[in-house]
Amino acid sequence: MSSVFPEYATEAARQVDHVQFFIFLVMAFWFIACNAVLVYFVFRYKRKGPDDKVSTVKGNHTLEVVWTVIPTILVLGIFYYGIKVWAGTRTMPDDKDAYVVDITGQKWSWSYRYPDGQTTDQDLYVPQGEVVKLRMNSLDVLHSFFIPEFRIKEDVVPSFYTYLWFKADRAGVYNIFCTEYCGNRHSQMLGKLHVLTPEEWAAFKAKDYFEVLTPLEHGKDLYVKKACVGCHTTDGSASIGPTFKGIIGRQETLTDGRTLTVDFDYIERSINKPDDEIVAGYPKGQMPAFEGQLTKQDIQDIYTFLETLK
Amino acid sequence: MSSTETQEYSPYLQPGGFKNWFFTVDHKRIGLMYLYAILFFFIIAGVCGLIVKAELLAPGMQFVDYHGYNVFFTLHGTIMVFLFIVPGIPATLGNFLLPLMIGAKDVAFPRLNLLSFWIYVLGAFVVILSLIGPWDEAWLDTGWTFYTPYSIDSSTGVIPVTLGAFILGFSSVLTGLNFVVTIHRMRAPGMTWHRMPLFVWSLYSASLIQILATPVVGITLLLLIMERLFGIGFFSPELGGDPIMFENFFWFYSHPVVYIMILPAMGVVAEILPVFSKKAIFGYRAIAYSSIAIALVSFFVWGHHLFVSGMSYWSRWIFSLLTFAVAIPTAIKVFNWIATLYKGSVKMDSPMLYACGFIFLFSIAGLTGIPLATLATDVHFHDTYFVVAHFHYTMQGGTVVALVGGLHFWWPKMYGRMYNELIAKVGFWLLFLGFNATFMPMFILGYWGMPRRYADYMAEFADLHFASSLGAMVNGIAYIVILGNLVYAAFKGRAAGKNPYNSLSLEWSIPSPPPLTNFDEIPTVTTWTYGYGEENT
Amino acid sequence: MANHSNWAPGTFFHLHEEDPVEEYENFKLGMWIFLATEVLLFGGLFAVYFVMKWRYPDLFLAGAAQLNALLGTGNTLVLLCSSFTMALAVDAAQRGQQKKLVWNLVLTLAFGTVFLIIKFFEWKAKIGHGWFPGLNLDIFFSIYFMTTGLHLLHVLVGMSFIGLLLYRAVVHKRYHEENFGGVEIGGLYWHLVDVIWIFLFPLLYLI
Repeated sequence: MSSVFPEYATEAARQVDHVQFFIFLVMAFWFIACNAVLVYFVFRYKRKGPDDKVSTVKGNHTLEVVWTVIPTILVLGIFYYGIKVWAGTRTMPDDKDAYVVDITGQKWSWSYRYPDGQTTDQDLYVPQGEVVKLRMNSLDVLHSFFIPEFRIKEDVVPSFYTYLWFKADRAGVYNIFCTEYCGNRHSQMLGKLHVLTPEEWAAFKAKDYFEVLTPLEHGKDLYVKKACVGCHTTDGSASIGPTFKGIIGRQETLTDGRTLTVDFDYIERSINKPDDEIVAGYPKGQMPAFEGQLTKQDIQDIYTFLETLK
Repeated sequence: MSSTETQEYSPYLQPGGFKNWFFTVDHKRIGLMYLYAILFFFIIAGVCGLIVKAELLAPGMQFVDYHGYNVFFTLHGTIMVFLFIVPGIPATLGNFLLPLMIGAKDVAFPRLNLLSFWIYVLGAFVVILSLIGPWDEAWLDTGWTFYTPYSIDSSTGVIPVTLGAFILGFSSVLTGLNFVVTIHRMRAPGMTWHRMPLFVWSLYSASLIQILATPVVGITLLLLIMERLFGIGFFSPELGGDPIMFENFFWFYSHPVVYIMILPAMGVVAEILPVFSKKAIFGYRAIAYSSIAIALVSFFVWGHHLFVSGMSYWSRWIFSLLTFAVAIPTAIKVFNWIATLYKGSVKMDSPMLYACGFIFLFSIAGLTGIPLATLATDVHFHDTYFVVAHFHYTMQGGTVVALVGGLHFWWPKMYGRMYNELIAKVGFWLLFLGFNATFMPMFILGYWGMPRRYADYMAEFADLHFASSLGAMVNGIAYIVILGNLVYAAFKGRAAGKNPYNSLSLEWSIPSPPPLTNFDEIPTVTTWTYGYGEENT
Repeated sequence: MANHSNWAPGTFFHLHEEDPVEEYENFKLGMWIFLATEVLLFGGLFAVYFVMKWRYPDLFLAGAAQLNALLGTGNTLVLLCSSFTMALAVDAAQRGQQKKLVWNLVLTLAFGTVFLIIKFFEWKAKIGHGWFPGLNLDIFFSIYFMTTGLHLLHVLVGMSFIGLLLYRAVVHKRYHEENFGGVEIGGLYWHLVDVIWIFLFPLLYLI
């Protein structure tokens, strides 16, 4: 990155940068002033001998008042400027005035549902130049949705909704980070925000934006987008969950002692309610439950992908 | 003064032996035992931190896996906060110096003081218990903040660590209680409130916080333990609980606690500056009262840790304003400290180097708090490396630098021996260089949006992480030099004499090391502690 | 006491002598500060109570209805009486009236025991109904057990301390006009235990 700040992609972000720049000037002034005086005093009043004449001044009321009042005024000024810029970002537009996307965070992936029912995972697609409102919820622990280039962030909490809104002026691709520690793969709970030009957006809305994937390609895509890749390898190596290599038709022993052969039904049950039937030797409570999030078609495509992993 | 220069008295360091130390009620010995304990844990937590920084040298996971990284940043924070920095200066320098500075023979409740230490040892032991068990399941990985719901379901180490922290809370409360009663009631005749050293004022303010804030985190951790054991729904959403309530309760204590960490550090600086400028501290009352003010206001700002947690509009407003309020008394102190050097006679011995280093580093710490108090900018910086940099500048650049400076300053008093001044200065500059190299890049990483607690990171952050991790190695080496120098001095340093720095404070009027009962006769005080130059007028 | 001369000066059994009046004032100030920490401790619990009550008002109304207000009132009266007898004990100690001191300490402990017995029956009934943390997820009863449990712990601690005072008064005849600090600070602690219950009772049982 060339500049100190990441590129700002919205007008609101630019405003935040202005506040920060103002604060930086104030900080720099006080830092330099105080430390320059300190260093100056250290050299200017260096001890020359045991009988140096020193001042016996103990304080100065005027000085105390001055250096109380001036910082107070400055601080109030910064506070006010900060509020002015921030207030706009916290005044949520009404749902009818915005393009509302529902965001679901879970360990360790993001998924998005658009007003027309379309869903995407990991990457969020929004139109350029329109007010977008994000309605966010977590399925498990605390997460936080952060787009550095937009200077916006809000925690994503289970049991109630939190909101963000923005208007993206520039088309482009921006980083999405989870910024509330949420466990093992917190650092991998990433995504990309795609701000689409009007032409791209039209294609997206017409469900024409993504190339049509074959069931195998779609299954493989889901394997990545739904973060299965984080815990299940395809090359036979050990990880948090059983490896997918050779999984279809494999004999597995569960934690309750039963054995079964892995087939489509077990795969479907495992995806929807994983903790009910955990393979022995693997930890409970790690895999999120996808019930209601994947269609039967999705699961079939995943199964198609798994079948190819011999 | 009836105390003699010759070694006719019995210094508090003798006799040795486990029984005489572990069952001591002498505040000086208790202070030293605390010192050895917290330095031990400082080293352990520091090594955890170095493991974290080693992993962050380059993108990808080279030394540990994700779980390992999470464990080590958690252990680093938990051990540093609860076992090192909260007891920190009050339990060590505070215990040793408080009675000496006010002309008392001991604290108000010497046996309670010993109990505080034993409770600390017990708490530390319980925390260490959490490391017994399988790496994957037992070792704590929640971060030192134990946010729910993650800490409800996560590793089994949560209960011993939170229980240990709960026990350590008692140690903190009892020490605070002891200090408050001591300061109110055990001052020598003539030692009025306005003649007390500023270090004592800072201990008093910190003790107020210890007494009032610690019980709240106590109950919070207790509720967390109850929830894990019995499935009670205080914080888990699926049991009807509120995870944000945990954050509020946790930070109600954890914000005031940072002032327990910094106020005594500021007190140490206020003691060193006048001695090495041979001049009275500038603005005594301003510094004294600002300590109390900071202690009180600190209880009303905890919400600034929750600015993006879904708080109401007006809550965020109010907490932002109050957070700025606590910045003002802090700024006043900085100005008064610097003014102390004006027309003084300044000698940059190593304690003075540390005190000036504190001012430099703490000014960065305090000033970078401003964008965090400002709502518009905090949204961007929250939970990024900017915050990590800010609090390391306050805790290490502030408290640790002051503690080390204070140890250098009072080492001759504690052991009767002087350290090597040249090595001490080398240690300081290594620390200053290494520390800044580690944490200055983090401010920029935060601007760029690099989130906290990330085991791995994207390629564009690599260069700054690399530089920061190299700095951390220098930072670590600095402590080896510093502590090595001090430890050697305690055994083999040349004799220091009663008052090598010509300080006017009471602790320097008795032999080094002090006799067991401090003063042969309780002195009657007629002047304040900072009357430098007044004997010449 | 055993011979402690083999312990060096400055260790446990070799404290420096303190002026009794100074020591007395120190202990009182120390106890008041300790009481402040207890207030903050229970304050945190009360805050949890209020947050949860605001979120689940119906659950709290229903839960309160399940509690036996009669037994709760009985407990309140019992504790009030025990505070009264404790105050009388402190007064007796200050005047050097040994018999009155001992009797009032005994009465205080008796009232405390009645409190424990009533609490035992109350809890037994609840657990018998299956309302216990871990068995039932009702937040009202979780808070009920948490607060009354922590309070019970403090009652036990207070009673142990009063028991110690009783032992020292009877066996060592320790308390008189020149030395009554121990009884006073025991009284302070006991009064706090009572005050906490005074707040707990209406919050849990009545509203």
